[in-house]
Amino acid sequence: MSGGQIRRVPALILIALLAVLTLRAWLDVGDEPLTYSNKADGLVSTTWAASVSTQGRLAVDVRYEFSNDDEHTLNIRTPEGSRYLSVNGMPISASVWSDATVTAGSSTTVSYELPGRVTRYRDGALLRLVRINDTSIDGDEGLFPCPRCYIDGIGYGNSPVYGALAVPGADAVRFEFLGLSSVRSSTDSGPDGPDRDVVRFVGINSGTEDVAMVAVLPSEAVPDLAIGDGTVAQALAEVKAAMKPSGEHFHSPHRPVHGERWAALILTILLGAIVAWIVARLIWSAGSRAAQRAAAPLTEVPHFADVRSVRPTNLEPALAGAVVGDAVKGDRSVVAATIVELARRNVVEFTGNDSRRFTLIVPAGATGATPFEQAVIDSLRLGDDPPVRVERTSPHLWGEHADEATKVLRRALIKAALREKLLRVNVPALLLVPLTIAMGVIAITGTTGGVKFAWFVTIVGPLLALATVGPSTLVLTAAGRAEQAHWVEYATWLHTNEHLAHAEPWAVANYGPVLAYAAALGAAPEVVRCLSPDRRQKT
Amino acid sequence: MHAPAPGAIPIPTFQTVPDDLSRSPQLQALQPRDTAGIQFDDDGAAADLLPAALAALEASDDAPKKLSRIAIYAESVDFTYEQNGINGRSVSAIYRPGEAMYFGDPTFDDSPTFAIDAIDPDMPAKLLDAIEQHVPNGKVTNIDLNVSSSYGFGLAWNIEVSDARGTLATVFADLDGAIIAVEES
Repeated sequence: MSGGQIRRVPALILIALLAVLTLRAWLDVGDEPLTYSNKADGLVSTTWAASVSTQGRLAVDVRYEFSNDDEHTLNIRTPEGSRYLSVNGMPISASVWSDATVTAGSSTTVSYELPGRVTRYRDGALLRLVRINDTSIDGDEGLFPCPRCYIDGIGYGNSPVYGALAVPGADAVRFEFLGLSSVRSSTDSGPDGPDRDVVRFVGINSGTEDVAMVAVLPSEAVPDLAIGDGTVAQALAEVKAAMKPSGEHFHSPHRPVHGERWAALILTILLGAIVAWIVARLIWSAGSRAAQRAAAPLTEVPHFADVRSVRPTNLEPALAGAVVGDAVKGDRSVVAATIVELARRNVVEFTGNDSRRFTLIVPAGATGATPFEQAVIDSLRLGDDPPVRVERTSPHLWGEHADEATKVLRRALIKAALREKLLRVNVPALLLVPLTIAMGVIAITGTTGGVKFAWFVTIVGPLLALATVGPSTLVLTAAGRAEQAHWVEYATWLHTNEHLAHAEPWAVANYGPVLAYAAALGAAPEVVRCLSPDRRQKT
Repeated sequence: MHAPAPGAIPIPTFQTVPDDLSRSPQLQALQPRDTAGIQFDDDGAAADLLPAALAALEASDDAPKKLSRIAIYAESVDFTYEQNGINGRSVSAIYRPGEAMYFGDPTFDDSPTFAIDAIDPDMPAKLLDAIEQHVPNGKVTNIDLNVSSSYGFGLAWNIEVSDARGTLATVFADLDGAIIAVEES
């Protein structure tokens, strides 16, 4: 009844489960690596970067990273109208068709500016770096032409493409790629990050072929461009329709499959709160026991401080048994104690002196002095209304109603203890079960890996939580703990009296109230055996 | 592999037009050739004639507002303009200093036109100076402005540079003087 302590074993298992759940959530956070096979020989990667001016002009860098330091003959082909063509920062001559040939080292960057590729509409702007040449993609007009075709020493295979587009309102940019698959994009640098207004992407250039792109930009990104007729959606649809003869399919960036950081954060916070609470309860319990040992003397019965052989307070036997709880050993019963106390006051009476067969008489006018006493009398009457005289004969004193009486009287005892402010409800303990469920649900919804484990925790976790806090949902108040300390001492003294251990219920005439307290505190097992509806439950 | 981290990819910046056009970055692509000490004696394009030529054209009876071509040679500046605002009605005019301006008969020509107001009359001379500073053994021999000779650049000055070996390169420049491309011969 007095509980207050959490169970350590289920608590440790619960913490371990929740810790694993949280750890998996953190491991799940972050970009899942993009993998590819059949790497193209000679080319490590291609990086395309561009800025968009307010007039819709592009400044473009295309960097080729080669896998060796060999010299590569690089046939530069850029979109028609490219200007300021340079290689590794050095301006170069080119034909009016933007063709040039250079010798490249391990890393080569081709830079140029390109006007006229952005068209503004009232609902957005379209960046077109794509053109069809009869039935094939015109690689010159895309992000870059087929590296395998125009750079010596590049073998057939796949190669990664990294990209960045700097444009106001990068969050709203929508890409569609040709020749680039498994594309992912990101703009998560935040408003003050190094790449504010930059959308970055990565993808696989299958076959290291031409790569082309269209991008829908916010209309506000190119405020110095005149607004044209139509809508950006129509323009995009036209571009896609025009590219159909190529047989190529547009690829949009996919969101990387990964867990949410917020989920891992919340799980961490909840885990921390649960661990902190459990540790605090364990520490508190240890301190509580120490406090019980050093409890200040209660002044209600002054002699108790001197001899420990008189009851410490005038608490009714049932409540004394309630506050003591499992702190004392032996069979005990608050119901038996109450019946003995009622018999002492002649509210009820025993007939017979054989513990195997006696009768308990509850007169028609019998009433209890406390709510719990009244509850015991009502249970003995089996709820008869109006009250009538009843006789209950052992060994079936409670008959078939023992279980029901046990439940009813347990609730009555809790109410009485709460009313006397000896017990209180432990709110954090009540929250442990829903918190455990919440952690499981968060893990299911906010992570991608280990969902089965999250389901397992969602189902098993609450059971473990219940097992952990079961005894501690009701805890002693400070007053209850002080009472407990002293009643335990009193119980210790009662346990030294062998006569009480063998006393039968009607011996109350000789022992007086001591026998009632002995039944409540585990020092009168024979009385408990005779009168308790359920000794196992200590009721 | 992962998406690039913020700041991992350098973002390209835009070129600006220098006050002194001889410092135009793209001129680095224009490399003088060895001409074995032989100087180029031909007359260069008379870019400094353009202001007077444009003034004479605007003072003519037609006072055209739209042109389809300007060509600056060693001794003359040729224009092709849209007469009376009629699309396709094209007239050629030739300006030679000290002579009356020549006007041809109207012919049909639907070449793209551009506003005469868009032309900075002093720009060809500035470009010529910048280029010839860069190629001491060569000269600008021809300056042309029309859409068809601008290739993919929209409307750009097409500037032919020659030395004793012949045509060295063609330089393309925007109307604001930005040298945007060099095509070596």
